[in-house]
Amino acid sequence: MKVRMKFTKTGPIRFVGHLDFMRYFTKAVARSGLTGVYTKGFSPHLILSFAAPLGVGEETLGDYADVELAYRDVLAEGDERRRLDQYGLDDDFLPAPPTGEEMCRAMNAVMAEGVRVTSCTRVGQTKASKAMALVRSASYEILLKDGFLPLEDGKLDQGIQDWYSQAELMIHKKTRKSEREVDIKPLLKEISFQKNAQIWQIEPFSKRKGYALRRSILIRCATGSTENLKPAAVLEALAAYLKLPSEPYGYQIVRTETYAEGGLALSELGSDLS
Amino acid sequence: MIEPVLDDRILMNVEKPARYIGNEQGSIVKDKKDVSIRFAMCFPDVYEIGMSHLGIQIIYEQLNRRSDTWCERVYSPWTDLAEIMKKEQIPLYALESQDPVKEFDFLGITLQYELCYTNVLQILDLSGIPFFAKDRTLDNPIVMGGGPCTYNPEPIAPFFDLFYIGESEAVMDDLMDLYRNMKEEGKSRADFIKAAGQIEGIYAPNLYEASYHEDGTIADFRPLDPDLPGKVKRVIAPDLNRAPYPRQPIVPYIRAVQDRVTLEVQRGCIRGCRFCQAGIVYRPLREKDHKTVEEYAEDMIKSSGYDEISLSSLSTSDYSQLPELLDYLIDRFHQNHVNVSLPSLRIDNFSLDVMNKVQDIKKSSLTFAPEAGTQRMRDVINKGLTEEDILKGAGSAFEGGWNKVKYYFMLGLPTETEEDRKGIAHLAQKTAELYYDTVPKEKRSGGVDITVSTSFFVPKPFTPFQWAEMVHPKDYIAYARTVRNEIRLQKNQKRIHYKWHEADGTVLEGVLARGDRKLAPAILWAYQHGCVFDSWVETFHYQTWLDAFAACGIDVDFYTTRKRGKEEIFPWDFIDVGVTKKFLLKEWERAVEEGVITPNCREACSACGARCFGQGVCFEDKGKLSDYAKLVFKEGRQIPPKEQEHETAVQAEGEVTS
Repeated sequence: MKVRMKFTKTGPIRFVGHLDFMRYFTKAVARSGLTGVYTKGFSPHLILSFAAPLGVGEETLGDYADVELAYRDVLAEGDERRRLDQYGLDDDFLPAPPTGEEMCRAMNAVMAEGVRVTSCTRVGQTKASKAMALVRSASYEILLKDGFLPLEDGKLDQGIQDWYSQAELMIHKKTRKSEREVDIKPLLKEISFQKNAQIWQIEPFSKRKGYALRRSILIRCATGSTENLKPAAVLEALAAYLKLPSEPYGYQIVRTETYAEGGLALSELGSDLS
Repeated sequence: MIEPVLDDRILMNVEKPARYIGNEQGSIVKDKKDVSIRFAMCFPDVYEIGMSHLGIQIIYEQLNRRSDTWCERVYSPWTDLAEIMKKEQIPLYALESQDPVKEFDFLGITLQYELCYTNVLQILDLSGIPFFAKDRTLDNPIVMGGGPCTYNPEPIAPFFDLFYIGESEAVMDDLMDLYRNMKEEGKSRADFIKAAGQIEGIYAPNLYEASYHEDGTIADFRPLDPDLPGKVKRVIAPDLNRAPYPRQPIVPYIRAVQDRVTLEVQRGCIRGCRFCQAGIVYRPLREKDHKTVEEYAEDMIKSSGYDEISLSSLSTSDYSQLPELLDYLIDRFHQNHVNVSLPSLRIDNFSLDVMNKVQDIKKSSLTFAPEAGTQRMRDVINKGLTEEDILKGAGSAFEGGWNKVKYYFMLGLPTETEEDRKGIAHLAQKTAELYYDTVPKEKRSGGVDITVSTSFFVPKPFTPFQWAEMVHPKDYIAYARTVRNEIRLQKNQKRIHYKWHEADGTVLEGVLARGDRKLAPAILWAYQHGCVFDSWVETFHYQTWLDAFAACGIDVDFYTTRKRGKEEIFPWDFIDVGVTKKFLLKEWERAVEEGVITPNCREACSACGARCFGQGVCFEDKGKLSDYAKLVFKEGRQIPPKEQEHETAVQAEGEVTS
């Protein structure tokens, strides 16, 4: 059965890169006592995929990992059944799954601080249900360090609105192959200034030093394999518009949710395990 | 949750920031208000290397079991971060609490190889601890060294307050109790160091003094205080089966060199290879009960989530309970996708069956260490391995489907000749031929691939070869060329790859390994002129070291190529490792004067002295002679050692000659 785990990654572990975090997650599943499904062959590995890679230094409250677990999937039909066969498993003989809550508890009992599985839902086995292919956008809370974008709250709020209300938001995009001007307006769905947002109530943010002003910018932007906009690019363009210096680490990026087509959170596409 | 002490701005600009954040699964966080001893345990190299070290994991477990102690980890910051820390005056910190090392009670540093000495100075420097022990005050941690290099700690003696000589299980708790009591009583740093120096196994280097003959050799070495012992005795664990061992290993976020569960199955080695320090200073061989090992395997796999178990020892084939243990591990963990790996297998009892059992994964290469190219040379080093053994091993590997073989050899061994060096090439050629004889054409996938690696021999303290002269630096490269040229003359030379490295590091290692206290200023000079991470090719600056020796009046040849007399007092002679100097000298003579092998500890006792510890193989029945030993002894080519002290040994001798 494919289980979609929604997880957080906050605190020091934000400095662990995507590939190392996948290895961490694999070991966590092994520790949890949940039975994973492994590939066959010389070096078996857990069948695990992540929805949207997170950059080193970024934190998340709403990311997703799809894990294949060896429990009976009563909802599997047709094509989905055949997918299990290839791992040498017969669904009829697998044990019934624990509930979503039990799965969360099993995972959280063996996690390092800062990583928590907050929901587990059952998802289908078809190609179209692959987490990575589903991702369309993500929301981010960008925590502003004291001293970054040093305008008073009202002015910063107004500045953000003025910048976003332009018809086009051209940025200079440099890739390995080319340099060109790109309009990010269609990719940036939402942006707003926030003061004392809810995130400041949550650990570890509530205790983090250097953010006495409790200011943040909320954005929602295109994320995924078809269209993608990096929050850092938004901050850079905004700072340039405001004629303020853009320090690369003057802020902390926290992804708050990952969405599929139609603005549905990825967990909403799964079915409850109870 | 403890936030990294380093700012994002710094961490995002250094290589692998995850090295510096701590917070790994299995790491132990205590409240510093609840403990009276804070112990920073340091491996002076990068995180990925330090995290792979089993000894530190054992000490971490042992100390953290104490409710009055919090043991944390410290590693060397890589050059990028070290530069920033120095520039911005950020003090070196321990991973768990992210607190500065200088606030700790102890800084324990494991000394695994001589080329880490400048890293030790960097640790002190970045921590803000004075380099010299004599300059430290009550505010500074007690700096204590441990590990293999403490079997000659003299070149770095002035930088340490204490050295722990032996296994942590023995007296670490006594030392911590002593510290806590004396701290509570408000005793001085000097009082504690002197008291510690009276615990068996603890050496307080600055309370000892050496005097020298005119030629630079040691005339006398003695304690400055009559309460301190003239000889420091190595201490060992009272009972390995009951010793602390991590049931919940720390699982690093980034890939460490040893990224798996490590199970120690035994300590010590029966072999007595004459170049090998570990083979002497960890005597006697002590096996752990396989049931104990299995129990740990269970817990460690469960708590870590690792998918590989590695059995650790100096020579795993000599572990008498290996079949039972392997059967259990494979049976228990195979369906859980956990692999078992077996480093340190010997060729002579190389078992295809075992290898096939554990390696049903990719048939990658198999590594053998014949160490020398001819039988004469292998007998001198007491490798106890024939060409037939080696080729039989390789042949079984080929039959089993392997086609890559790696051979390790040493160059510059005592009595080594041109013929011995060329023998390396010949052995590689014979192996290649064997492949074509063994594997039928239709089964040869990609052909045979033989890699020959040579390293240069460095004589180490407490080995029979401690009297050996090192060869001149320019000769090393000539020796390597001989091997290379001879390989090129072989019929299958295209199938044989030869690897060797520069000899500069070897010379430095040679100086530091058998050096004395006169070297300390040169080590400091080298560090202050930019030497650090000397074991890394990209950061090793040999010329700076030569400048350091010149500036401090050190004659490199005195430590490397000089012929040492049998009567000479060595800088490390004040340490009693159990094995006697008399035995080592006898072994040296058997090697270079007689060219004869000595049976291993299971074949016959050679009365090395390690029996004084009252444990292990010394108390097993003897007489299990290997086929090779039986053959050579029967032919009368060689004789087992005389002067047997123990009954069991005499019986064994009787069996051999009958």
